[in-house]
Amino acid sequence: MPEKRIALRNCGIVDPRDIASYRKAGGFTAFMKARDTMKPDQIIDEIKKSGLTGRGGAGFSCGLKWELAGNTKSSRKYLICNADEGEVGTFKDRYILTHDPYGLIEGMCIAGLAIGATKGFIYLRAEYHALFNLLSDAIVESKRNGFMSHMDIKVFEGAGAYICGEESALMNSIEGRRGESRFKPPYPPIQGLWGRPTIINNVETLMNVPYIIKNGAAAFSAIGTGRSKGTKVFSVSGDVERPGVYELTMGSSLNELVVDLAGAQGIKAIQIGGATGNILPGRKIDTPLSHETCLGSGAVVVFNQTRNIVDIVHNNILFLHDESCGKCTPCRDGLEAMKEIFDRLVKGEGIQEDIRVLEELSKVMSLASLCGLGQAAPVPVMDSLKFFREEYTNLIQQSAYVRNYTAQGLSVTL
Amino acid sequence: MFKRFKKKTAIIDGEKVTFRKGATILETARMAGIEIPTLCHMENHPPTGVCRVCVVEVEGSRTLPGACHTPITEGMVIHTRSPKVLAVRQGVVELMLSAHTGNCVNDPNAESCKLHNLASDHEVGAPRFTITHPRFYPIEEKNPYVQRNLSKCILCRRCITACEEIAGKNIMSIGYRGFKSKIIAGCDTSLTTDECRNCGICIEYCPTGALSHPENQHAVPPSRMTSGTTVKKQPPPGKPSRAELLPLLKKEVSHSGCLSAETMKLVAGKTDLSISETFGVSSFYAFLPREGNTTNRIRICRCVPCFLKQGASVITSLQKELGIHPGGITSDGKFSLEVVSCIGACDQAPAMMINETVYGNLSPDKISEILQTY
Ligand SMILES: Cc1cc2nc3c(=O)[nH]c(=O)nc-3n(C[C@H](O)[C@H](O)[C@H](O)COP(=O)(O)O)c2cc1C
Ligand code: SF4
Ligand code: FES
Repeated sequence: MPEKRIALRNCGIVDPRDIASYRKAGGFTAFMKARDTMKPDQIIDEIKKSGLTGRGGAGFSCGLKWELAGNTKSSRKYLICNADEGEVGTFKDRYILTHDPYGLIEGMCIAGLAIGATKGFIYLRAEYHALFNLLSDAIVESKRNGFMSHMDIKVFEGAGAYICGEESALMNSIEGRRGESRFKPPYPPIQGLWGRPTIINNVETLMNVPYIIKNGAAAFSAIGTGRSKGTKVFSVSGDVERPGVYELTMGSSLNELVVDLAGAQGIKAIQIGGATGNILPGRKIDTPLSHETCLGSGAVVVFNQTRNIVDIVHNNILFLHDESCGKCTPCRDGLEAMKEIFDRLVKGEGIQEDIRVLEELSKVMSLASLCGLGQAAPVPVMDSLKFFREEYTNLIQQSAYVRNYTAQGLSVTL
Repeated sequence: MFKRFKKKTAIIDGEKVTFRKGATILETARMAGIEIPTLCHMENHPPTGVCRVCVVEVEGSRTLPGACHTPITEGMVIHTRSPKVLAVRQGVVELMLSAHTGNCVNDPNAESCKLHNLASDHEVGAPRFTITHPRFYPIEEKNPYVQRNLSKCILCRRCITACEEIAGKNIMSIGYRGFKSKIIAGCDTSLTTDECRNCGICIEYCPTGALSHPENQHAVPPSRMTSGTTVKKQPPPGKPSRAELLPLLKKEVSHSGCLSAETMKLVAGKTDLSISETFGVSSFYAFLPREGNTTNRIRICRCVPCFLKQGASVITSLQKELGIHPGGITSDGKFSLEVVSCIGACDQAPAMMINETVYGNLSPDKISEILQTY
């Protein structure tokens, strides 16, 4: 069975409002084990050995990141849980936070011990305001039960900006600045929030931590593929029978996820990882899902045969155009130029030249942009040009016919 | 090991260079007599890295890092003029040209525009990347000392740094976000003599013609130019810190529905930030509206998963039912309507939020029933 519950182990099983119910399910035993029997290096070592990687998109080794922050000398260190979840088609963190807030807090408490953080933040997107009290109450309860004597945690609410999910923009936002990305290096584990060593982890990444500490690194690293250990939580939406959240072992195939579990039929294409995610044609349905192939945040949107790929990429670009922070030239002005081309294409006013310009623009944006948004914005454009080029050329050809006819005073409708 | 005693070295354009720890690629290259073009960079000030003109190729790196802010490290192999670098740099310059409204052709001061010069250095011809509606703003002549023609602005932010770190004022900031980003003063009002006097320092640092001395005004006497000295402001004790800004702004919005200029001035006073900075921060975020005091904010998603599930027809039905367009407010002030980015309810697409409540699996015929409950 490809389905396995690690991050979602308590979802639907414990009462998210009741710490006793969480503890009855074995909650906080991992934390107590870490606190009472392990040194910080040992915790970091265990996470490193487990092969846990970031679940927020980039897939960086969690243990290495912690080690870097752990080794950096500073009187103050910060831990941030990234609950900004703004990526299009992603809703797994909402599901986790709704059903298992204590699991996240336990993960954060362990991370705090490991790196020596005294202050933690949960950066919650404004759209998830309904979860604010649930999380705040869980923090109060955990404190009352004596699990947070080493670290304070505060829920910090965003104010509506997708880019604030990018780690450096997120830190700017907490500092009371515009949520613009910073150049890197310096990297957050060395110099992050207010210049201090800072660890930023996605909600799902932290959910795996108690499991690893409790069951040992080997139990976790036994699951998955070469570079991708454990499980991944996917958010499936689009043209499927059963949209929702699914947790599968790393390396499970796209087919198992979208056909067997979510019930998709007649698949034309699938976008994996949100608005900056790869677009795969239906025939690649056997692709294993892992960092080695494509994964991103685990957003999986399915398109059936009736869908128009250019429309979908247009929608992706509109989103990115709206959400670009505007700090650097290639992303800010490149997305405007890209939007203009797509606006024209879908209106039936495209020209042959547009495809070449899109390719050249993609190159400038992906190589020169300051952060992941601008760098990855061309991904769906390039993928759709690779796998569905004829949709672009057909559209442009039709537009040319229409222009020709109208020039002769004839009217046509496509 | 010998290595530990060796000087730190790297290779730029085939030349071996030595450097001190912490130096940037740009500093090291300039020391070695290798010129890398820059626009936003200001010597002796922390880099901002916004313009991306200074990108270089570092072997082993996936992207082209900016030379002005990337530290050079032992063994780095750097190319500042490889075909890849030149092509991308040219693209960046083209985008800057396309995005601003410059009438450089008949501008007598064009030779003094650094962007103009960069474009000719990089043989930028007819723009490949067209932007039909470049940023455009009317010329401002209210201030007798600084004339602002922001249509020529390329958002390099040098004026902000000059005003804050050299003049020791904090008059300018950056407002809005994405393509709409703009250099602002106050709550994006024109620059008046109330705040800005005749130091003229920002003008000297503007690489284009966006900031200039009004014609009847002579250039600032050189004695005023205190280039390179940084004035740092200390926040007074007892005031809420900058970190309180976002929570304070959010509180104001939940109190009064939106952020008026008055409110922003109030918050600026509380946190001891400038008004322009407060406005700059608040105008960045979608959930901090500046107008439209309304009881119920409807936010409907327009991203791909909702769009696949007839989200567009739900938006049409909302518009009909409310009698307003996105961005509008009903005449009784009861509802406002916004079309927004993904709200993380894609499993219930199409979805919308009214205030904090999510409504999923919408269809056009469900709308009036939902609205009636408010
Ligand atoms: C534009 C952009 C948006 C991002 N949004 C999120 C997000 O909403 N949630 C998240 O966890 N990571 C997001 N990331 C990734 C973060 O920058 C960062 O890599 C991640 O939070 C690190 O945590 P992890 O190592 O546990 O994955 C985003 C990155 C970019 C470039
Ligand atoms: S790539 Fe886009 S989002 Fe990132 S810093 Fe540049 S403008 Fe901002
Ligand atoms: S000079 Fe380096 S980004 Fe502008």
